[in-house]
Amino acid sequence: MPSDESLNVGSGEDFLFTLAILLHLERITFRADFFCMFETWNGQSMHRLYHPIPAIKHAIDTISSQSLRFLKLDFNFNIDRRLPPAKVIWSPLVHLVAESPFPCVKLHVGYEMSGYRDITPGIIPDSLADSAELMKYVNRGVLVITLGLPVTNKQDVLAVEKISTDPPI
Amino acid sequence: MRLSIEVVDHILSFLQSDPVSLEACHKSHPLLSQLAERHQFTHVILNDFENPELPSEFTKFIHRHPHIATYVRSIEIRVAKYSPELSSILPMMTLLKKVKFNSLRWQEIPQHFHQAFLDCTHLPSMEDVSIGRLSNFPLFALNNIKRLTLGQWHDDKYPPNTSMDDSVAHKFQLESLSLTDFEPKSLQKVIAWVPPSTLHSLDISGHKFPYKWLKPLLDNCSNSLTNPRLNLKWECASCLSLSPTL
Repeated sequence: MPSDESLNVGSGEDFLFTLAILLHLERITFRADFFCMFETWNGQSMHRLYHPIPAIKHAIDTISSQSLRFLKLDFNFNIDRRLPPAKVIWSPLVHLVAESPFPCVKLHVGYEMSGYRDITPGIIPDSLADSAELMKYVNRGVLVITLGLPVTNKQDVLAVEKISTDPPI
Repeated sequence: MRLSIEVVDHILSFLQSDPVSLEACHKSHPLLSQLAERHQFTHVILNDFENPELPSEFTKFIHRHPHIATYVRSIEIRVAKYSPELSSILPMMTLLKKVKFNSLRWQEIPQHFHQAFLDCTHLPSMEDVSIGRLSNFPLFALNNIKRLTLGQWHDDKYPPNTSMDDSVAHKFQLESLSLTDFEPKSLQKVIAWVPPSTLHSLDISGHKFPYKWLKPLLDNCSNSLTNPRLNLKWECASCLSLSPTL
């Protein structure tokens, strides 16, 4: 289970804006980065997921428009290690979709992989598919997920290329 | 089987980002040559930082072959020298749909280019105007643009441009506005200028956008805005800490 969730990493007050004044709002797009990192802090190693969902939740909770069509989330994931279990990592997104006033949520996921090479390109699609709760919304047509092509950290690619071109010992 | 000219033309349109293939088509057959030529000049980028002679060569080429100017649908201008010759080819591009202009200080650009640039933004065919890195631009001269992108604007030591006659201001038609990396002072000017009743789409991106100005910006177009697109910066992220044993 998550051990703690603080509201903001930086001076997040600026982001707590309201959408109530947009009387004719039909759709809104949020673009943001997700960072999933394995960090050691005070001798304790933790997975840390930096994500914007509470800020988005705050914004859409203020919506007053009656003409809503869809919410678009354009997320770019940065991953340096295997992901925590799907049930945990996608939990904030599940809550956002469940409580969203929009009839449809479109999620586009791009991802960059760095660090350990045992991370496979299927890491995000597999994790999404493992979330039974997210798939429930997909099957109901409430959530539409599209995936970008994974981007591999250039240094890793160069390293892999070097290994593959090195003469056999 | 023979394909109609329209179909061949459509196929060639997919090669607009492939100048080598278009050049090969241009040399291959008289009919293909004519069709390929149109697509070779659909998108023009004049960048004298990468090739100092390019704008001068292009303007000479256009004056030698004026019909080419009517093939240009989008032009990106990123130059340090604004020659009268460069200004003279803009009015020849009568079917321009998109113009992208990157520079530094509007008041340091010669008047002949001011007029040529503003005239081309007012063409009936114009759909999309993008202006980047430009300080003290007279925003009211863009009132009749439907789709506008303003990027990396900043104020500097120069006072706001007041030399232009306000009578060039047109009725607002702005429907879509994209803003990238603004300094607060410049953003205040944009907020004061943004029309309260026509703007449907607002796109905010970049990492320097001063988000505390988002509220007044939204307030200003609250009656018309239907489609905002917002970049959330790192500072708005929350942290979920998870035990590695999960």
